[in-house]
Amino acid sequence: MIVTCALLLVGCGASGSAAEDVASRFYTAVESGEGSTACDLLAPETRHKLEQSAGQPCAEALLSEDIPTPGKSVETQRFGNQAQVRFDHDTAFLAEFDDGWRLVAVGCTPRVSLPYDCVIAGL
Amino acid sequence: MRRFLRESSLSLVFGGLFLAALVGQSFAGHAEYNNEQQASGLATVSWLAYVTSADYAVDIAENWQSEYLQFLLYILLTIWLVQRGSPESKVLGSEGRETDEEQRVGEYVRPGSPRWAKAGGRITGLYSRSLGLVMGLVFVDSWVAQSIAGWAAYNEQRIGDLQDPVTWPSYVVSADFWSRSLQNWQSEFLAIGSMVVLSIYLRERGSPESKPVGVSHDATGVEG
Repeated sequence: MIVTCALLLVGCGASGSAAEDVASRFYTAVESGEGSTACDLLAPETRHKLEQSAGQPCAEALLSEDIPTPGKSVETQRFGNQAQVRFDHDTAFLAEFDDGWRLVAVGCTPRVSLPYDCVIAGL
Repeated sequence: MRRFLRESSLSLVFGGLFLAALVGQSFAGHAEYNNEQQASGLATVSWLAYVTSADYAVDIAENWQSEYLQFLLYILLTIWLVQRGSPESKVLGSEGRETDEEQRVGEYVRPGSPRWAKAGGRITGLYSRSLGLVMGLVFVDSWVAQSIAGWAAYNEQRIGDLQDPVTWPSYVVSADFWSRSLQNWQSEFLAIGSMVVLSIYLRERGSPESKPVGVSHDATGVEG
């Protein structure tokens, strides 16, 4: 019974489709040159760090970054308030906020035994 | 009703303490979780969201599994292992499952004996091991629950640190899982060991966990 409760709480394989949808909309906005729309999908801290490092408003700073064209979605994994969406050519990390999923990091490249190296990251 | 309260006071008080501690843990854990969320620039969560989270579940399950493992081992090992002078031990020389007469099963039952003690065969055999079996089942169940909730909480943290999540088989051989398990086990085994040894020389008048104050240190298996 305790195991059943644990499985229910964990939401075993909880769907990450909402996170995947936000990530897809972000890449679509970037490819369409809609910097403002894309910025609205960034996590607050990620947006703040982008503006701080670029010294520009988010919409301009974002479109000048080298964000890859992601390709097709390969896999989405969600645990609690965090999600990872892997595409053919990119990996994105998201967190859930009161107003929905937001991107914490994009343009991420895996490194052996280290965190991903990301073009834009809030960490 | 008054008689029930008096005769069940031990279980009622510990049940109340358990519930109070569980609720207290939920509030303290909720505050700690939200502190960490804010420090990472992430959203805080409601109390309800926290008590239905993997973070809360693993903190509960890792404690439960170690408590039931502690009692499982204590129940089983005291069948065959003894400690001179400890009230936690059987009398020296009585190691093992003991005779049917000593255990009052089968033909040796008395008025008031549990029905399954007289039944014989597999029923009595199962009943004779029911305490260890239930403790063992709850231990295994809660340890598996710890592995599932711990896996989810671990992966939530890994993704937050921009790392790939791991599979459940990888998690159950990970440092995080074994660190959680062993840190709980060491305290449980220390507590039992302390009780076994300290009760040889120290006394608590009126407690059945202590020898009577005036009983010698060498007296084994004697309770107050």
